[in-house]
Amino acid sequence: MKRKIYIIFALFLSFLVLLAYVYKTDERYKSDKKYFEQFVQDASKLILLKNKWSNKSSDKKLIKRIQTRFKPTGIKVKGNIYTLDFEDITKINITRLGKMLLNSNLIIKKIDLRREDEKISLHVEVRI
Amino acid sequence: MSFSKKREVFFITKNFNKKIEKKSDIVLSPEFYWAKRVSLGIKSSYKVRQMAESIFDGILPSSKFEYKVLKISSNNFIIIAYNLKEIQKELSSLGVDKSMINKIYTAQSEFLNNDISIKVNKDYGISSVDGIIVYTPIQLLDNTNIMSIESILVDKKLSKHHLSFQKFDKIKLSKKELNAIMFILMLLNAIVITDIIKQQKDINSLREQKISFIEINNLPQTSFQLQSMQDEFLKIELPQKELRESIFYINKFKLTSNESFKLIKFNKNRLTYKIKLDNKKRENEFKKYISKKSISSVTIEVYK
Repeated sequence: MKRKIYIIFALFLSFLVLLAYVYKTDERYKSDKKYFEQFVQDASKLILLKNKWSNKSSDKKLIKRIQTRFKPTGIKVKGNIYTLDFEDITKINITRLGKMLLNSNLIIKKIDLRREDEKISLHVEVRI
Repeated sequence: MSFSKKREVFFITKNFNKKIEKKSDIVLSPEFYWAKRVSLGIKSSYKVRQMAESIFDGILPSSKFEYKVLKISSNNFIIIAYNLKEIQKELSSLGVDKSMINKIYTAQSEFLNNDISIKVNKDYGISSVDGIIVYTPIQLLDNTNIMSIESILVDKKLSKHHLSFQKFDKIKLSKKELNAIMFILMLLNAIVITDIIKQQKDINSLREQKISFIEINNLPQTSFQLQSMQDEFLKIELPQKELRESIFYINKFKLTSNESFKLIKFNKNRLTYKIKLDNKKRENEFKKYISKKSISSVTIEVYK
């Protein structure tokens, strides 16, 4: 009889201890979950920015299209900096080229567009 | 009635008819319990108490009894068997208020080892027969120097062998009830442990999800690094966005056939425009147009 009472007391005590542990673990889980959700939210923003401004393959494809279509007079590549020069480009082409560059996600470092009488020249540096 | 320095002591028989008005000790006559003398090859009273139920087997009526063991000598004991519930019932029927009782003793424990002949009332008394205290008609007592119980109890120092009155109110649980409580507690513990295991799994799963997410998207490990990388990209995005918005906005300004942009220069996040306009009025129109949108990093040079 006495032994049973001791066992009951021990069981009750262990129940209280386990209950406290459950509560703590639950708090920990909620906190981890909250942190993870915040992490995913922040990460999603970063992923969007990365895909936009750090998409090398897409940038290279675009530069190739510009080369093919507008035939720059000069092209230099230094690391990840591409320099394109266009001499005596037509008004229509400069409009089209301008739209292509500005609508892209190429990181434009320099633009130098000059108009002397009817002659238009463009010097552009982009970073991929 | 006797009056001791500490507490009054009353001798209770089944004919007790006095009123106890103060908290007192009571000594029960042999009518309230069973007593048996035994000689065993055991020296410990505790071990004798464990055997008491079997010693009284077949003697006691079927009821729940408790036992008290009094050691007379090395291997000789007197075992007292008593039923607390029955005693309580009897005392109640005699008009003895439970709250007026301090401790309960037995005549056996208080007159142990005494060769006695004591008068209890006009008809009965108590005496010792082979060490057992018996409640007997007064005619069977040795009348030489017979004393009354009251006179003896006045100065009697009571022993430590009292019955605990509080036991009357103790909650008693049967084996079945104890087993049920044990089972319920074990079940509760099992439920809680299951919950803990589930929670641990959830925490581990969350951790794995995070690791997998980081690996798939090639992300840094911490939020701090994440924020740092984000800031780097924002340093790129903001000026690039502004450049594009500025150029698109400025180019929307309708120029006449004589007007044109002479220079569009962008370097180190600074945009410079050189524009040829017809006259001052047009210059003002252009400046007004520009001022509608807050373009901070643009320098406009107008010449005619």
